[in-house]
Amino acid sequence: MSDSLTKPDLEFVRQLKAAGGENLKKCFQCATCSVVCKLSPDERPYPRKEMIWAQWGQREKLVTDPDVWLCHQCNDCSTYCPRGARPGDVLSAVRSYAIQHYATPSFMGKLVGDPGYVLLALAIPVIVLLGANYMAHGGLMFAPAHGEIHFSEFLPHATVNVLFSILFTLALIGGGVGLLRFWKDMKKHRPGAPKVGLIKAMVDTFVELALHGKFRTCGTAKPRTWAHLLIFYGFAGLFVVTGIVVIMLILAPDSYPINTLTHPLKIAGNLTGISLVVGCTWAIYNRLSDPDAAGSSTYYDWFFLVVLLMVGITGFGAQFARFREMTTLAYPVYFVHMVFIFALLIYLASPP
Amino acid sequence: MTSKKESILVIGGGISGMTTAIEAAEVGREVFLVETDPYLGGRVARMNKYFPKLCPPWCGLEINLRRIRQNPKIHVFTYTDVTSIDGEVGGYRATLMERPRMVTEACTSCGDCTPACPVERDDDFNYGMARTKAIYLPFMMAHPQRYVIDEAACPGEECGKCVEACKYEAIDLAMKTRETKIEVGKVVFATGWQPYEAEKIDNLGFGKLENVVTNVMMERLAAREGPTGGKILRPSDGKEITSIAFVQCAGSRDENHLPYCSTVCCMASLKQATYVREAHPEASAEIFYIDLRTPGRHEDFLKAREKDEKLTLTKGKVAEITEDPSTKNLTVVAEDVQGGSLVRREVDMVVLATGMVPNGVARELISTVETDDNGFVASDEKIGVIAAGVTTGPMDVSTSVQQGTAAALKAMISE
Repeated sequence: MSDSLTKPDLEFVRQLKAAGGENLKKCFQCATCSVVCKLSPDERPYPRKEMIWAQWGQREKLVTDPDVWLCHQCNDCSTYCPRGARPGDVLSAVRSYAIQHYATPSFMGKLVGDPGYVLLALAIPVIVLLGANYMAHGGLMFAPAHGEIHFSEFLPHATVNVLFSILFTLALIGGGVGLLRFWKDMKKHRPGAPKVGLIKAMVDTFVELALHGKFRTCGTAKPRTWAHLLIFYGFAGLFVVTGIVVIMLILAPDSYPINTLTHPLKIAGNLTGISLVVGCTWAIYNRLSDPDAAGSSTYYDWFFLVVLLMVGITGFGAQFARFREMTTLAYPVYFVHMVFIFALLIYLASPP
Repeated sequence: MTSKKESILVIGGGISGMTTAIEAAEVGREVFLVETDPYLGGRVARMNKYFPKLCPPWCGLEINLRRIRQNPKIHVFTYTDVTSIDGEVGGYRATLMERPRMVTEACTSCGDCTPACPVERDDDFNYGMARTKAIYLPFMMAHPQRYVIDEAACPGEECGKCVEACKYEAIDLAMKTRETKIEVGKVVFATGWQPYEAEKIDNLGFGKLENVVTNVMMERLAAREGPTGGKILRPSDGKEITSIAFVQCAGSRDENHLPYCSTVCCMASLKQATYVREAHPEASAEIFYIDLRTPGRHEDFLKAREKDEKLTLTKGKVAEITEDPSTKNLTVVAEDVQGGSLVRREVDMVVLATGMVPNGVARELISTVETDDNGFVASDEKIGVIAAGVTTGPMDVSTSVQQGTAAALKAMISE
């Protein structure tokens, strides 16, 4: 009997509204959204059911709902919604909430999901990196006396590699734990789901990510597809290139492998870097120029986008300063670059 | 003879305006009843049956037409537009422009002119689903019972074949617009409505998919004197339908189209489902709705329809219609909200239950008239302007009749 009783979580409703789902109460359950959504499956389609769960404060149902993660925020639902309830924005708010809910440890969720923590989120990498710099040099060192620029003089390669590898691994473990918690909760709260195992689901997800096939069926927010694809390949490319460089450095610690712009790895890095910067700029432009079509952007979206863009811009800035031998500029820019890479790898690997 | 101050101009010769004119004239007021179409009866004349009693509208219309014909106090102007109104309560001056129908009162409706006429036009009475000659009788029961020539379609005096065919010399191709100036004390707007332009609902395919029709068209398809002789044949190939889907709230209660509920479409679709079931007993019908609005005594009608095993009521709005290009069959897609999955139904024909858009004439003629955001008019007895029928808001026929009577009383009682 108690299963059929519904306990609305009013605080949860308030939080969803604050996170961009402010129109959720306008929904009158006509289900236009579930039909116009190109991505929604025929069985248990979304987002109509999510809308009534949101209205009724069904927190457990929503945070464990895998369907909110199938949503690409195309916003065809919001365009055709007869009530202006903007289901696309509501699902975005649910995702933002779920990220914080499953972030492990939980303060990681706060750091990226709550605007109040923005200073702390940036202060942590600044302190960690300054500390590492201090320890490496016995005092803060921002620009060595001689002209030639070697970023390894700011922070030795080994230090960077060890520091980032450990933190990134910890973050991945946190993210993995969060993911497993979600997986377990989903099994508990959604009979019949998941239909495939965790590994198969992850493989399918990576294939989908690589091709962006579903994203391309979007109607209203079509321009976002290509921006997102550029960002994805920009990020993935840079991650791989960086990984290769790190491995080469571990194998041969004394010779930095790519000292010319024509080195194949440098070319690959720069191309993917351009892809990242262009993609981020495009995505930010889409969000600012046509907010209705792009849908509401949560703080988490903005945090992610700005960090990605800053990684790209400071990366190019540091490279430019280095090849132009602008010593006073090169090291501080490199420092900022490292801060944003830290934010990217540590914070964004952590929430599932 | 009543004074000009007491006389009433009723704009709109549909069921509301006719009622107002009759009620006021029968207590002795002079009434000018002006209708833009070449016949009286408005939208009601195009209905097949009324809900909930499922009786044809003609018995009621006939009685009213007879009351109008017998009453010398009612001055009927059809095919006429009110082009201007000035003055104030108790002393309004209106200009009536009667368009040239090219056919005089000598017409006996013998019909000899139509075989002679060489050109055709879209039959607007049947919502474009049939064609008539350029000289035509709007419909069998039209009042006045007189032919009319569509000026836009007729080649004019250079043709003149109908003139030769008419043995009553009732055709005057040189007829000009006739202007009449009247003075009245009060003005009643009973200007009625248009069906919402279904083409604007881009995901429902009206105008692109041949077998998607609207509810007003369905009335004509079901009417015995309609384009299909009441058989309900689908437009693409004239096939007798075996399955049909009704899409409720097509462009209604929708911020992107009409934000309001037109109040009658649920009952209309339930009624039209009975047309289908009676004309084709083997056919199945399905009504897709957000919520069925059958208030008051209409609940009984819903309960009775629910007993029909071949009528399915599915909660969920249709938001996609696709066509099989070879068969022209349609597939409607909706989420069955109570079942929790998408349903795709292949049907022969789809009826869009579109809503009512008020004809926005009042404000153009008298600028001080107040309308709401959707263009519906509020009566303002201080300025002698009274609204009746769908001019005031969406409603069914019987409510329109009540409002017509109320408008007559308001126009007579108020100063």
